[in-house]
Formats: sequence, structure tokens, C-alpha cells
Amino acid sequence: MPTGYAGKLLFVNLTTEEIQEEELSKELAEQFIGGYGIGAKILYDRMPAGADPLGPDSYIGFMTGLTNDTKTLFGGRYTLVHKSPITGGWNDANSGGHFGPELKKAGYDGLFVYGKAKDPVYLYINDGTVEIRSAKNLWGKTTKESLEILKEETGEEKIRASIIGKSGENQAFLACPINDRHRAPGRGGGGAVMGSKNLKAVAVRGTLKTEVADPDKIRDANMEISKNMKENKGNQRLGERGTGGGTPSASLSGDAPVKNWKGIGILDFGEASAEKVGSKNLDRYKTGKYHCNSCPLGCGAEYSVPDGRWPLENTQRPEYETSGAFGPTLLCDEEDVIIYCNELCNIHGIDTISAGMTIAWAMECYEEGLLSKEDLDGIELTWGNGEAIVELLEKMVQGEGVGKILANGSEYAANHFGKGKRYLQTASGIELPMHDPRYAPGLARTYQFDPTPGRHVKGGLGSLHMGNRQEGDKYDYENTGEIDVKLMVHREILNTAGFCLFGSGVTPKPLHHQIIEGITGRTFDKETARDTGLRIYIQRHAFNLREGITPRDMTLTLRAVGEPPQDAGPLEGITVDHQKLGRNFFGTLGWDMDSGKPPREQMEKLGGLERVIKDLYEG
Amino acid sequence: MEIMVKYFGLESIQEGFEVILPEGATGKDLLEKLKKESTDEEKILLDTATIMINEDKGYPGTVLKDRDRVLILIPLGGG
Ligand code: SF4
Repeated sequence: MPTGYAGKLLFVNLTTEEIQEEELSKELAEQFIGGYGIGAKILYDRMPAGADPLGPDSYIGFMTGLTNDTKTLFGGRYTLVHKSPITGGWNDANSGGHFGPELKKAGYDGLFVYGKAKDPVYLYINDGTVEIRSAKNLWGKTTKESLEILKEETGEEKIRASIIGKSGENQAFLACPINDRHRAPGRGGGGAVMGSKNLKAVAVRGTLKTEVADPDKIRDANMEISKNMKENKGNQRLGERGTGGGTPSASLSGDAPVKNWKGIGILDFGEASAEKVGSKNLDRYKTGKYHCNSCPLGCGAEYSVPDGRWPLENTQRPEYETSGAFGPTLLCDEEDVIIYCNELCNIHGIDTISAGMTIAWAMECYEEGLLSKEDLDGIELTWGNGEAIVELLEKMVQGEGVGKILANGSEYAANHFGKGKRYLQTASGIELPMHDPRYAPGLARTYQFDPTPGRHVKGGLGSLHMGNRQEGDKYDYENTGEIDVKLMVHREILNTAGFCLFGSGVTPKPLHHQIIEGITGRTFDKETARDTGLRIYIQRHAFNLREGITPRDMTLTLRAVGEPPQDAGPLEGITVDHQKLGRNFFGTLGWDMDSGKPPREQMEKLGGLERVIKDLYEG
Repeated sequence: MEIMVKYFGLESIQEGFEVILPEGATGKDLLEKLKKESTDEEKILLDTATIMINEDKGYPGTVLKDRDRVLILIPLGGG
């Protein structure tokens, strides 16, 4: 068994109710690390090409990160992997909380579910025992209610579970599971895939311990991280206010989209509204801090809203992406609306980014007269109308009326109504997150061409641009390939190892490598990191190629790249040369952009991609 | 002349305040003055900030006018 792992993968066929364990091979662990690395390899090898993402042939994987349960600071994330019903291609989405480490402590590095149960079920995993249990009594319940029932039913107060709500049960494309009440692998429709399998939840309890190769190496790295945290005020601010502390600044600087990406923050939203949606204002409802597993920072917060239109006893602080999607994107500065929408998304299991963005699309269609009040079930969907936003979101999460259509996302809705395509803000069909490529141009390449499109957490030059930490002019599109590839490759390592990206600011790259060495006991130098990151990227990319998706098929809507450019505000006159960024990136990789094929020799040299080579070159 | 300055994203000094600068001072002069009163970490953040002068994007060479309102928007850097 490879050191630093639980050593086993679990496979559950819900059609036949077969449960199988497989040893995690040393080779697989070394070549693909964990998380979506191993996830991409398994899905590529075992899931039939062209499978309906919501059909029984599709697989969904719950993958732990390498750092889970190793005492590594910021090492608590797990990843959901599957084919997306939104993009029709590869999907991975990660989440914090405690679910990932608990799954590893229960004895598994990953769980793959396929087939379809006859009736609603949940999986109960407890220290190596696995049961498929009826979830009939959970069906229709919210994620929070379900968690309480699961605790009671299993008698395990400390149970951790990844649970779908009504949206997942409805197989709404925007649905996601929720773990730990408010943590979510939100993007890409994993909740719909679970719902299509009649899988209400995966509940885990574990008390086993992961052996690591060199605990001192991890401890030393942790000490350095802690020291860096003490000296880093920005990090402390993040711990105090969470990511939502940045919403006001981003709403005005051009980082956050405004009015479905056509607005200008300073003119259309304004300073006062921007301040209202930030957590400095929202934190008057704060009752405590929230930390994910192994997190010394705790960027989350518990809230209680005692009165007003939507009182909530136990709710949580909206994160930046959520306050951005329900705030400036919709021109809404009603703080109770943002908190309540966050809660609705969490209890019914729907992606806050895509949900807010889909409402933004519908608002613009309403403004332009493409969707009428009748189309919207009588809702007057004007910009910033908080009550209307809540009413529409309630319909979406419940799958009622027009909400049933919109819960499948903006592109699905545009196709359904046969109008409004020009107001979509998407990458390969999935709604864009809350960081604007006109502000951080490198994101244009990441959004358009990453095998998991439309994600701000994927690697590349955009990650530097978001913080304005690039060298030179960020709007210079010459020679961007090398640094873009370098940053992409490093991010593949962080993501698959289960690191929270908010720890990166206090964890320099060599410490990440030191931690991986401490966990696994093998050398993890710069070259190993580069090869491993690239291998993982190719494996995800190959999944798309096999589905018939080449880089030429990957799209990014034009407003996000400034076509046409804005005529005022911080992004005035900016058009992003996204195609050139793409050409530079693929050029540096040495890949042909038309076929999307990585060269055979490159893959042979990397190793571990034999199946991909066979499909691409011998098929 | 008097310039109204407000930080966004640097919570310790988020309230607006006034800065006195000589006539003809530029965006760069303002930043230099602010940096003198900042910690090393804040200096780095100031270098990454987007500057808005009244409702327009500010550049180092922009000449400031009396009673201009300057917003200094510190990036979130992700999230
Ligand atoms: S920084 Fe925030 S998201 Fe990251 S592990 Fe800590 S609490 Fe979770």
C-alpha cells in the first residue's frame, strides 16, 4: 500500500447492489496523487465514452485529497468527479468541511458510484463496513434536516455526509450535494448525477488513522505556515471577514461582474450598495467562526438572523462568490436577500454561482422584453428586486413552474425558450464565476480551455492577475504561455492533494512539495511536480477529447472578454485576446489546437497515459 | 488641495479620510504619500490596488484636483 493513503478504493454498483473494494496501487497514487487526479484516471478507464451523465452508466466519484487526515494545515478538501450534465464534458468540483478526511478515516481514498438504485438510498460507510440503506424517509428533506436524521439513524453524532436536497432529487443540472451543512462541491451538476442514481447521500464515519512517512516534515511545514500566518495581515483579515470581505472592493474594481456582466460597478451599483453586500456589513449577524478540517484560519462564519423578512436561526455567512452572484450581478444590495438566497441554495443543494447567474440572464431577458411576466410565472424580475429574486430562486430549488427550467441553467433555458442566447455569460455552457477576465485577462484562457471550463480555481496566469501580482502589463498578450502552463501545473498539484487555496498565500511552493514528501515518503521535486501536474491535466483533457470536445469546441461568451469593450469605468476600452492566450498556452504545451491531441512522445515520456495514447493514436 | 481617500478591502482603515497634497499632484504622488504611512504589507497591497478617481479609472500620471474622491480598491485575489 502506498504510504500516506488509506490504501483502498470503493466501488458501488447501485443497480446490482454490488460493493467492491480495490487496493489503491502504488503506481496510481504516485502518478495521479489523489482527488480529481485519480478520479480522472478511473473514470476514463471505466466509464463508457458517450455515457449519459444522468444515466446508469455514468460514474460519480467522491475523492479524498492526499493531505486529508494527515494533520497538514489547510489539507481538508475532497473532490467530486463526474461527467457534467451542463457542459457534457469532464467535471470536478471540490469542497471543504470534514467529509473528505472522514472518508479517508473510514478506510477509503475514494468512492465511485455507478448504476441506479430502484428506490432512494444512501450509502453508510463506517470504518470499512459499507451498507446501501433506504433513503425513502430522507427523500424530500433538506440537506440540513437529512443530516440530523442520518445522525439519529446511525447513532453517530459525528457522522459526516454529502447530501443532495430537492434540487438534486429533481436532477436539476445546477444541483450539488452539500456537506457539513454549508460546504459544497458546487459546480457542474454533481447533485443531478446523484439524484439520477437515486443516491440521496453518502454518510461516513471513520476512526482509522492514516500513517504518514515523515510526520516531522509535516510538522515543520505546519510551523512555518503558522509563522507566516502571524505575519500576514491579509490572511488574518480573510480569517476574520471571510472571502465576502472582498465583495465591495471587487464590485467597484471590475473584478466582480455587475448587472449580468454589462454594468459598471461604480456607476450602476455604487459605493453604498457595494458596502452593503460585504461581510463587514453582514457580519452583524455573526455568532461564531467556522473552520474546515485542519484549517487554522477559519474563513467561514455562523450567522443568526433574528428578525426581518426571512429570519434564520442557524445559517452561515455567504462567501464572495455567493454575495457576488446575488449582489452586484443582479444589482441587489438587500443583505437579507443575499443571506436568505445563500441558505436556500445550501438547504436545497444548488450551486450559488450558477443559480445567481441564471437569474441574471433571466433579468436581462426580462429587461429586453424577451421573457415576459407570464413566462416568469408572474414575477416582475427587474434589476435589484430582492423579493423577485427570492421568489424565483424558491421556484428553482423546488423545481416548480419556470424554476424547473431555470434550475437547469441559463443555456438550457435559452434553448428552451429559443431566445436570449446573446445574454448568456458562460464557458462551454456553464455560468461564469465572479471574477471578470477583463479585470484578470489570464482567466479567459482558464475559463475557455481548462478541461473543467468556467472555473476561477483552476490554474494559470489568471490567478496572478486576480491579485494584480503579475510582472509587467497584464494586458500584454505576448509570451504568456510559459507562465500560464507553469501556474496551471502547480495548481493541479494543490487541487489533487486536497489543499485549500486560501492557504497558498502563507504556504510557499516548496512547502507544498515538502508536505507531499512527508506524507508519501517519496521524492517530490520540481520535475516530479511538473510531470505529475501535466499528466493529470492531460488525463482530464483526454476525457473531453473522448467525448468529442476539442479546444476548438470550447466556448467563452464575448461580453466577458470585452467584445465590445465597456465605454467607462475601470474596464473601459479593454478587450481580452482570449484566442491568443489559448494559442500561447497550447503552443507552450506543444499541442495541436485543432485536434487537441497532446503529442504521443510527450505522453509516453510522462507515463501513466497508455490508455489515452491508445485511444488517440491507435484507436 | 484636499483629496478624499477611501480604502476598500483594507479593513483597518476603511473609513474615508482626507489627504492634503500640493496643487498639480498626481495619482502617483498620492500613493507615495499613503505608502509613507503604511506597513510593508500595506505597501505591497497599494501596488496591487485599482484606483478610481471620482468615477473614472485613475493612473499614476492622472493629475488630481481639489476635492477629488479617490477609491483605493485592494484586490481579493480569488475566492
Ligand atoms: S480557509 Fe476557509 S475554505 Fe479554506 S479550509 Fe479554512 S475555513 Fe475552509
